[in-house]
Amino acid sequence: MIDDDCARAIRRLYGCTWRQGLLSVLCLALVAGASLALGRFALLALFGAIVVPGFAACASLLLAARVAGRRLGWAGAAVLLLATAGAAAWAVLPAYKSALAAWNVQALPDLQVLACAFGVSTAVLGLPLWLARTRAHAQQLADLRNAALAAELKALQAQVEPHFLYNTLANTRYLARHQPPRAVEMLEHLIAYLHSALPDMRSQASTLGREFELAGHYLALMAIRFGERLQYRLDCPSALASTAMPPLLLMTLVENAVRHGVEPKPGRVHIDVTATLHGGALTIVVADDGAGPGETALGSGVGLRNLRQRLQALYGTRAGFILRRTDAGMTEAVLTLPAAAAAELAA
Amino acid sequence: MTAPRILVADDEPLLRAELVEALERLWPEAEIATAQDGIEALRLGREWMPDVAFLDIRMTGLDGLEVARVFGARTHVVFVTAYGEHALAAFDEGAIDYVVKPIALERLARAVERVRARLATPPPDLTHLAHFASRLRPLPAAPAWLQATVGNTIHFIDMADVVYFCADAKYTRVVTDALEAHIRLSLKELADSLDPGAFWQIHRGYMVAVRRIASAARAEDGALWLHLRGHPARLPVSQRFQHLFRGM
Repeated sequence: MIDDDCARAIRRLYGCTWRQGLLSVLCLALVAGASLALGRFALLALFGAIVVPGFAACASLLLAARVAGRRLGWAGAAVLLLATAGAAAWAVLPAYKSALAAWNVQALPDLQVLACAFGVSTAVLGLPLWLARTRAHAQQLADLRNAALAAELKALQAQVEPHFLYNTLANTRYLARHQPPRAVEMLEHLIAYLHSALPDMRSQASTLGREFELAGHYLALMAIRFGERLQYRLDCPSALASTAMPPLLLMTLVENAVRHGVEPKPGRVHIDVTATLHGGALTIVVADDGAGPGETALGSGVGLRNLRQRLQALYGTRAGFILRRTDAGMTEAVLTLPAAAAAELAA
Repeated sequence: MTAPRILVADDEPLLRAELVEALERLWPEAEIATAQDGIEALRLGREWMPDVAFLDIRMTGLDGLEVARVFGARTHVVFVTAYGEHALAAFDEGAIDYVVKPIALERLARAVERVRARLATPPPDLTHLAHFASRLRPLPAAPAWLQATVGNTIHFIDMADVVYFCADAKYTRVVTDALEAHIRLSLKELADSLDPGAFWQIHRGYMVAVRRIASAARAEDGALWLHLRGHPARLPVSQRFQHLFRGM
């Protein structure tokens, strides 16, 4: 794709419409005419010596872009630019000298004219090309990164742990025998959870309300599985329900709270999920009074790492995530998103 | 002969109830007690002296493997394990039996049969289960991130962001482009768990991210120093580790 970018950049930088071309020729004629009228022959000749190699280089690059297309490449374009500008400067030199001789004006030394003609055309034409290349590379990197993130998100969305599924179904089997209505309830939560956990893979955007709903189904399932031990509360103000947010960020935090807060700690654990809007920032807090992150200093879990990478890619420094232990012994995962993100996600 | 005593330990109440129900059917004369976590299982093991224990491996408090280890040779253990959670093949070699969750009745019936047959003989000693356990637990992957505490906030540092580690008394200082923080591990403990291809120990007190090494240069006194890519620090390479930079 790089080479295609190159051909496109050449067309954009050096090409012109008929009208633009006509206007440029008119400008040139005006400058030439004025110099002639004022008798500035030295200036006119030097002007010609500079402009002609520039045009030659433009023309050859455009021609090469048309003929070679994506095979041209940045390096090829650069070499071609230097070669044409050099050759044209060389070719124009005798004309420059003979013109000045005809006008009887002292010519500049050959080397100076050559350097001038070559230097100006390569600088004027080469710099934009170099900038375009830098920009194209940066764009390409960004595209790659976005594609990787999108792929990762797809994988995440498709990933329902078999472990979770089997244990949940085993619970349902027992309930079906003993408390059929509870079994139905559990199945309904499971279906709703799977429905939103394995959604249409295209969706990059979700809403706060939808994410809370998904977290609610997951916690309801877990509360049936763990029994009395797990209690939870979800609080999504209805005014915020339609706020856009990326999918599966909240799920990661809630799963984390269950895995590292509820599972390792005997006895009752409470999970509290809240969302607030404060001056343009959406803050989502998942708090639990469970085991906490403890002393383990190293982790290989991909959940939180993935979350941080996604935040970084989507919002840069405008989003934040911290995990903290409050004095009251609660573990709080705090996610801060710019609320104006709605427009970006929709775009 | 008195009724055999069976302990069932699982931290999910419904699954526990299901297992109890199945065992009551398969082994009607047995007496069954339940534990809702590893700690309770341990207490019942000591006070009630069960003949057989069905232990969930992944359990709150103490996991099933740890409980079995404390039981030693007093109790016949059957592990209950979630599908795909552990390397089950390792069990097949030994005298240890297991059933997979969600429990299939035929599989449980076979396990019950086997354990009944073995009841007369002393149970295998599971004190040395550590050996087994190391094979049962999934191998820990090289860590992808680390936690460093600053105040009461826990920073998550991606391993890919680490420039170098530096021993600092009992702890280790981790240096990234953005921050410096302490982690509660000695450099030695850290060195054992890091990916040896990504981090090199270059000194008793330093480990450096390989991809950040720019060059190694000898100072006038003969000491070798590392220069880093995009970071001003210069790190010493001690004699012991200079072979890493041979030819530089």
